Amino acid sequence: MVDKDRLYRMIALARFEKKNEDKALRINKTYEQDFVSYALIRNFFLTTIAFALLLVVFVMYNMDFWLSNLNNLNFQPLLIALILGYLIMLGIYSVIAFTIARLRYTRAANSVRQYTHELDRLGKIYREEDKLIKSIDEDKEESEEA
Amino acid sequence: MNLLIRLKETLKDIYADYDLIIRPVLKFGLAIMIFMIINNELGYLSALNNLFVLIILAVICAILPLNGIVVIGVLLIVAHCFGLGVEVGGFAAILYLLMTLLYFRFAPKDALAILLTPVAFICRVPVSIPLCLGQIRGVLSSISVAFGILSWAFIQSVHTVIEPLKNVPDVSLLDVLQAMPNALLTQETILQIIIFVAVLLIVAGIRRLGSDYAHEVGIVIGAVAYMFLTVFGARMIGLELDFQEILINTVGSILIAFFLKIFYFSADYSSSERLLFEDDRYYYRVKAIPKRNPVDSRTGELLEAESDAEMPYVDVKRFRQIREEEIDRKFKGINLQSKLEQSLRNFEVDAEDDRAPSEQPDTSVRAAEEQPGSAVVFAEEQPESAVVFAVEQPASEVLSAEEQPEGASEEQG
Repeated sequence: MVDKDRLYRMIALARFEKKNEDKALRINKTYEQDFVSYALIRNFFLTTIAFALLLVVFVMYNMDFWLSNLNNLNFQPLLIALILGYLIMLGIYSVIAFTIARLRYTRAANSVRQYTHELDRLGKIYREEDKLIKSIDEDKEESEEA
Repeated sequence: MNLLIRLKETLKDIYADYDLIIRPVLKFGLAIMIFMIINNELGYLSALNNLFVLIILAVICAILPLNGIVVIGVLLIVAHCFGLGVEVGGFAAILYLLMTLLYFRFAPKDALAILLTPVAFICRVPVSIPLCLGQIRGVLSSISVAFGILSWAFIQSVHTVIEPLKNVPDVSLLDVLQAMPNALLTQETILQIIIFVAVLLIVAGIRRLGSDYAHEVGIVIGAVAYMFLTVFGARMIGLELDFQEILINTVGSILIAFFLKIFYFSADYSSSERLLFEDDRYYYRVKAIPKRNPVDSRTGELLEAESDAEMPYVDVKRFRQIREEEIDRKFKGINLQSKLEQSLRNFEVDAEDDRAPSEQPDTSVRAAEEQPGSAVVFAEEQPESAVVFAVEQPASEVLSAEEQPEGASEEQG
């Protein structure tokens, strides 16, 4: 016979697995440091691409100015401003990416902890069931022997 | 109003039963509407100006997640822009890539705003976007709204500025390249961004107050603020406005926001689920259909909607109740009082023996092991501490709380 309480727990666990197969359960397979590092590395490349694209749009927006002053431009302060702008943007986005990655990992870890907790409880129910079945079998054997 | 509530309940029931069909159909409808509007507005690539192509794309979107519509819609816009000119297509690709890299990679759920904002402008209900986003999402969605307006400004500028410019015989590539960002960042666009962000902040702020009619009040105040700011802003930058048109557009937006509020935001359309799992003895094929008003069968209290990210079965109070019932069931028919007395008698004998220095085994433990009921009684009699401990610790420690009676028996002694 199917135990109702055990079945509810199994359904809850199956629902969690289905919903979080590619979310919390996947995130929880990696260490927190690895997850955050990966997010920061990805952020570095994406922010660099975004900065380059922003630069392209900025140049297009002021195309007249660049074309007329191309020969008179002092490139050194321009380059310094460019690098400074890039570093500020990278810094801001790194902080955002770091915070979001930490937050996501913590949430995932909490929900997976609850999930494993539930798995433990389910395991305990199984063990109790096995014990009960064994004791019933033993009682039967004893009564048959008697 | 009663009719609307009844209609909402009927819709919820239908959705719970037929969500497998309804969800793709809704996505298909949304996708085909967006794609047709994009084709009507741009339509420079003749290969895509075919209803069958749009239907096929919409069918693909119906299978994909909701952001599939955003990806395919943006690709459609970029493709049409390439139809007008390589430089226009390139700029469109850069613009949408920038939006994704700067914001939507952090908030992918808001990405639909970059397509829905142009659709709302074309349908003459522009303010419905901040009114609705302010209700569902939070303050941060103001960035999505701003990007949505940029998307609309770009589509409009391709239609009104770039296309005529491309048709001029002696136009250079440089002129087109410069015209695109200039047409995008006009005073009107910046004013629209400011107004929409302000409306969204008002709606989201009022919603956060959490009063009884926060949604309704937020929608009305947001709409009034939109009208006031539009008229005031237009006067500041010297734009001519048709007040009647703004009034009609705002009323339309309010109706849409109220419609969505009644049928979408305040209803839990949690759909039915199909689960397949197994244990040593059975395969379980479960179809879980959500109840209309879920009630805790033990306490009679209304249950809140479950969160996706959390385990649904974590009610400590209920778990404690279940444990107590399990204990009751387990020791039903056993005279716990006599066992307790027996245990205490054994304990007293052991305590006397302990006074003499000897290396005798701990009989109290042995006695308690032989009579597990006594240990559990101690755990129950202590004011919740032992039971709470059992609930909060993993199963292994629950076992230890039940099977190690030393602490309990010491306290009792």
